[in-house]
Amino acid sequence: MLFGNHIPGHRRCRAPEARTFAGAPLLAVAALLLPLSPALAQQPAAVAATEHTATIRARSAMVERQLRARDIDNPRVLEVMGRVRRHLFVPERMQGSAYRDSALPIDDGQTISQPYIVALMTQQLALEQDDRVLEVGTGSGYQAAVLAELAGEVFTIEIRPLLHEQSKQRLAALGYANVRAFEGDGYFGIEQHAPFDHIMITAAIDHIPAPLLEQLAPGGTMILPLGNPFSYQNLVLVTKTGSGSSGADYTVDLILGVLFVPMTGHALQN
Amino acid sequence: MALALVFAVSAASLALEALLARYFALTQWHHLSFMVISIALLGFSASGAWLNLVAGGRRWRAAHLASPGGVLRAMQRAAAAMAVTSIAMFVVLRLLPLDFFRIPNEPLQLLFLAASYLACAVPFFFAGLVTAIAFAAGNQRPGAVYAAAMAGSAVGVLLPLALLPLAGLRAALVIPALLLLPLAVRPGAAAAGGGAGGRRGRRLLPLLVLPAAALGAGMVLAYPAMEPRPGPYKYLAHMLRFPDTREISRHDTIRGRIDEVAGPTIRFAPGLSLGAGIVVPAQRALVRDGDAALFVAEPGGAVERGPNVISWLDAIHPAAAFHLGPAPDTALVLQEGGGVLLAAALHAGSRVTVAEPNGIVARRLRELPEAATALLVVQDEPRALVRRLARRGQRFGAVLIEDWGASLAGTASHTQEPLLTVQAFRDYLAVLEPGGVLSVSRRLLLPPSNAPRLAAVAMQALPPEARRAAQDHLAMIRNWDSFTLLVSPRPWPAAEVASLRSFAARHGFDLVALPGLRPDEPNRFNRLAEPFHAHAVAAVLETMRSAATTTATTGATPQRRSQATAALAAGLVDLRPATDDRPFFNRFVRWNRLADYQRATGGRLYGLLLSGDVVALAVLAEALVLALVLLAVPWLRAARRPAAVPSTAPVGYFLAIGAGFILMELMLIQRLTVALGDPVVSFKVVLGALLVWSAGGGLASERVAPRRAWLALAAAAAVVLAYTLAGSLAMPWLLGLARAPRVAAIVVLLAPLGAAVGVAFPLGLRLLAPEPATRALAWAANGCASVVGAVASTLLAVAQGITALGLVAVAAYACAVLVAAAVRNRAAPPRQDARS
Repeated sequence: MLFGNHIPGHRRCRAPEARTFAGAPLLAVAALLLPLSPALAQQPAAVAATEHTATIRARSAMVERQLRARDIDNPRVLEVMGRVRRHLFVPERMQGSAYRDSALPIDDGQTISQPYIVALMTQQLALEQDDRVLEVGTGSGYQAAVLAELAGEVFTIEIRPLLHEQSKQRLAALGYANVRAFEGDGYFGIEQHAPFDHIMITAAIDHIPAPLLEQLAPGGTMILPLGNPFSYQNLVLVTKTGSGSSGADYTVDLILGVLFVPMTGHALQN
Repeated sequence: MALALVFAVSAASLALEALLARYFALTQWHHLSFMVISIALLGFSASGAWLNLVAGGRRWRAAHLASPGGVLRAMQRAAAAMAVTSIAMFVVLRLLPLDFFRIPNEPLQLLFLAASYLACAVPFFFAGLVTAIAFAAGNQRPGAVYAAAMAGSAVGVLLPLALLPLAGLRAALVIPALLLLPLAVRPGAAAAGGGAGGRRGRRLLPLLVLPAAALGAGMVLAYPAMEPRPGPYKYLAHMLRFPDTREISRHDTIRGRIDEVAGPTIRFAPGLSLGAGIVVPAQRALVRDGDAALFVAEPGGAVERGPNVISWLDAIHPAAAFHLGPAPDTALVLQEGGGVLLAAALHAGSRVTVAEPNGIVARRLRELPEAATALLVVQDEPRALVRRLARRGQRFGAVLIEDWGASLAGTASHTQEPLLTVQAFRDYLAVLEPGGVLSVSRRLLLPPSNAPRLAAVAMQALPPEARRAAQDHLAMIRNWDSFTLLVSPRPWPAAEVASLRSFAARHGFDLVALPGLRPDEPNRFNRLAEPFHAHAVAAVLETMRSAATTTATTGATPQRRSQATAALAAGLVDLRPATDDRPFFNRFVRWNRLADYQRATGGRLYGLLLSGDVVALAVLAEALVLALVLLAVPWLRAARRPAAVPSTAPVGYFLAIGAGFILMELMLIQRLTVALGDPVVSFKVVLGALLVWSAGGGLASERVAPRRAWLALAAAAAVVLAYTLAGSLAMPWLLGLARAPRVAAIVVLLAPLGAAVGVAFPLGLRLLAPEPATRALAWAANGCASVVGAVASTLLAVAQGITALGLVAVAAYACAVLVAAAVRNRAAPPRQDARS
C-alpha cells in the first residue's frame, strides 16, 4: 500500500512541443547589461552566450536521475527543467552544487528548493500557455523562471527586500519579460492583478491565507508544501471548485511521495 | 580544604551538566540529558583511568599522593583546569556546526558529534580527577570524600535554578567556573600542608597572577562567542528572518528560554477552513527553546467575543467542541504551545482555566484582557492541576488539549508527552461534567500514526463498558494537515452528531470517526488516494472494542489485553497507546518493518531516520568505544599486578553498581517527569535529592564492616526493586499536591533509596580497592558503566518502558551482591584511613 496520491496533474497537459523561449532575443541585450547588474555581478559567467559543457551535462543528469527516474513525466516540465540554468540562481560559491539533489542556501537565510520539488510543484499545476500564475515567495527567482517558461504571465511576490531586488534583476537580465516581481507580504497576494489561474506558495505554512484563496479564479489550483521550511514533507494541491464562499467550495489533494533532501546544516552556515 | 575542593568542584560540574542540558535543548531539538550525563561520566571515568596509570608510578605517587600538601596541589591544578576548559567547552560547542538530527543525512555530523562529545568530556575529566585524587590518596575517609562529592553535586544541581533567571544562559555558563577559580588558585597547600610545600606555594603566588590575568582576558574575549543560538532550522530562526519581526523580550529559566516575538507576519491558525474568508490578525509568539511556540493576540487585539461576531476562531476544527451545541460554560485548556484553543474558548464565551508551568508564559497570559473576567491562569504542571481539580470536585464542560509537536518531523520521538497518556486521559475524563467533551488537536502524520494512536489512548482510558461501544464515544475531524479528536464519556447524542456533521460540511473538514460514519465522509474535501486515516482509526477501535467485548464474556483480561496490544504493535508503525510508563507518544518506528515503511511511503524514510533512535544509537556507539578503551587500558595494567583480590572483582563490582545507579536514576528522572512537567526539572530534582541522600549513605557506610558489604548491597537492591515496582503507585498522590509540596515530597520519598544505594561505592572501595591504583580503576569502571548506561537507558525506556530500567538496575545490583559475597573473606583487611 502506498500512502498518498501521486497525481500527474488534475488536468491533462498538452502534447509536448518544442516551445521556444519567449525571452530568447533579449538574452543578448541582457548579456550586455550584465556588468550593470549587481545581482549578477557576483556570477561572472552568469549569462554568457555559451554555456560550459559541464553545467549542460549536470543539468541533463539532473533531469534524468532526479526527475524522470522519479515521477516527473510531464514532457514540457522535463524540457523546461533541462533548459533553465539553475546555476545562475544560486550564489557563486554554491554554483558547483547547483544541480545536486538537494535544496541549497541562498542569501538572507533562504533556500532554493530541491530540483525535484520545483518540478513536482510545477507539474501539479498543469500549466497552460496562457495561464496567469501567482508565486508567493520569489526567493532566488528560479521557480518563477520555470513557471515563466510554461505559463503566459507570472506574478511573483517576495517579502525580503534583498531577495526581491536580486531576483528581480536576475530575472530581467535573463530576459523573463513575462515575470512581474513585487515586494511585499505574500499573505495578502496581489489584489490588483487577481484573479490568478494558479497560485504557488513556496514556504511552509499552517493555514492557507484567505486573500490568496479569494484571488484564485474559480476552477483554479494552488499548490503549497507542508512541513518545516527546511525539509518539506508533503505537498498540498487546492482546487477551487466553487465560488469560494464556504469550505465545501474547495478540494484538497495531498501529494505524497515527496522524497525531500533537506539542506544540510553546514551548508547553511557557509 | 581537600573536602571543600571536592565539594566545590562537584557543585560546578553538576551545575555544568544541567546547563549543558539547557544548552542542547535550545540549540538542538532535544535536551539530550542522557547524553550530558554520559559525557560527564565519561570525563569522570577517564580521570580514574588516567590516575590509575600515573598513580602506578612511584615518582608521581611520591610527588602527589605522599603528603597532604601534594595531594591538595594536584587537586587545585585539576580544579583550575576544569574551570578553564568548561569555558572553552562552550566556545567549541558554539563554533561547531553540530546538528544532531542531521546525522542520518550528513555523515560529517558524526565527526562533529565526536568532537563535541570529547570537548564536553574534558572539563568533567578534570572535575573527576579532583575527586579521584581525593579517593586515591587515601588520606581522606572514602565515606567523607563521597559525602562531600554528593553534597556538592546536590548544591550544583540547584545552582542553575538561581543563575538562569538572574543572569541568563550565557552568563550562567561562565559563573560556575568563576566561582571555582578562587578556590582552585588559592595556595591552599600552604594551609593544609605547611612546611616546604607551603613555602613553595607562597613563593609561587605571584606567578599565578599571570595565568589568572590571561584566563580573565580569555574569558572576556570568549564571552561573545558563547551566546547560545537556536538551531537554524528551528521555528524561531525562520520567524526572525521576516522583515519587521523582532524579539520583544527574552527570559531564561530552567524550563526553557522564552523569546517573545512580534511582527506583522506572525499568524498561527492550524485547522482553519478554506472557506473562512477572514484574515487572521497578527499575533505574538512566545517561543520556547526556539521551536515550540504559543501564540497570543497582539496587545490591544483582544479576542472577539459574542454570538454575532464572526471570527476565524469559528472556522477552525480544533474549536469543534464549541459547535456541538451551546458552548460549554467552563473549559479547561492544557496546551503545549499553540494557543488557538485558548483563544477559541474565550471567543466562545466560556470561562477558561489554563495550566501553564512556565512562570514567564503564565505572567504573559495574565496580561491578556480576558484575565480580568473570564480567564484563570494557574502556574502548574497540567497533569497536577487536573488531579487537584478532580480532588476538589471541580468539573468542566470541555477539556481541551493542544499539542502540535516540533516543527521537524521525527525529532520528538524520544520526548516524553505526559499529556497524551492513558492515565492522563483518565484524569481528563474525571473532571468532565456529565455531557462534557474532551478535545485533543494535533498534526496529521502519514502513514497514519498520530491519529490512530490517540484514538487508542482515548479508548484505553474509557471505562470497559464504553470501550465495548467504541464508535459511540469517539469522533474525529480533520483537514489537510491536522486533526481534532473528540471524546464523550456518554454515547454521542444524535443532535451533537448532526451538529458536528454540519460543522464539517460547512467548513470543508473530513470526518475520520463518528457514530454512523458514512463511507463518503472521510475523504471528501481533503483527499488522499484512500481514506487512510479513517481506516487506521477504525481498525484500532475495532481491535480494542473486540478485546473489551471478549474480556467481558470470558473474563480473560490480561491475555486479551496483551493480544490487543500486540495487534496494535504489529502494523507498519507501532500504535500501542502511550502510558505513563511509555510516554513516548511520538515514537512510531518499528525497525523490523523499515523496508516495508520505505516502500509504503514512496522512499520517504527521512522522518524515521530523523528519529531520536538514530541520534541515541550514534551516541551509544561512540560512548561504548570510548568506555571500553578507558576501561581496558588500566584494567590490563592492573591485571599484571599481584593482588589479594583479582582485578576482575573490583571491575565487575564497580561496573555493576555504576550501571545500577545510572539506570535507577534515569528511571526516576523519566518517571517523575510526569509529576514535574519537564525533563530538565525532573533531572535536577531527582539528581539533587539522590545525591544528598547518597551522601548520607556514604557517611553511614563507614559503620558497615566491608565483609558485610554484600548484605548492604542486597538491601540496596531490594529497595531499588521496591521503588521500581511500587513507585508509580505514588504518582496519583504526588500529582494531587501543589507544586512546592510535590517537589518536597519527591525529595523526601527518595531518601531511603538514595541512602541505600549511597553505601555501595565507598563500601566497595574499602572492600575491593585498598591501593590507589585500584581505587582509580574502580572510579574508571564505575564511570564507564554509567557512560554506556546513560545512553542505553533512553533506548531501553522507549522500547520496553521506564519500569524496565529499574528492573535492569536491580539485576545490576544483584551482580554486585554476588561479587561482594564472593570476595568477602578474601579481601584485604580494611586499612586505617588517615583523618583529614
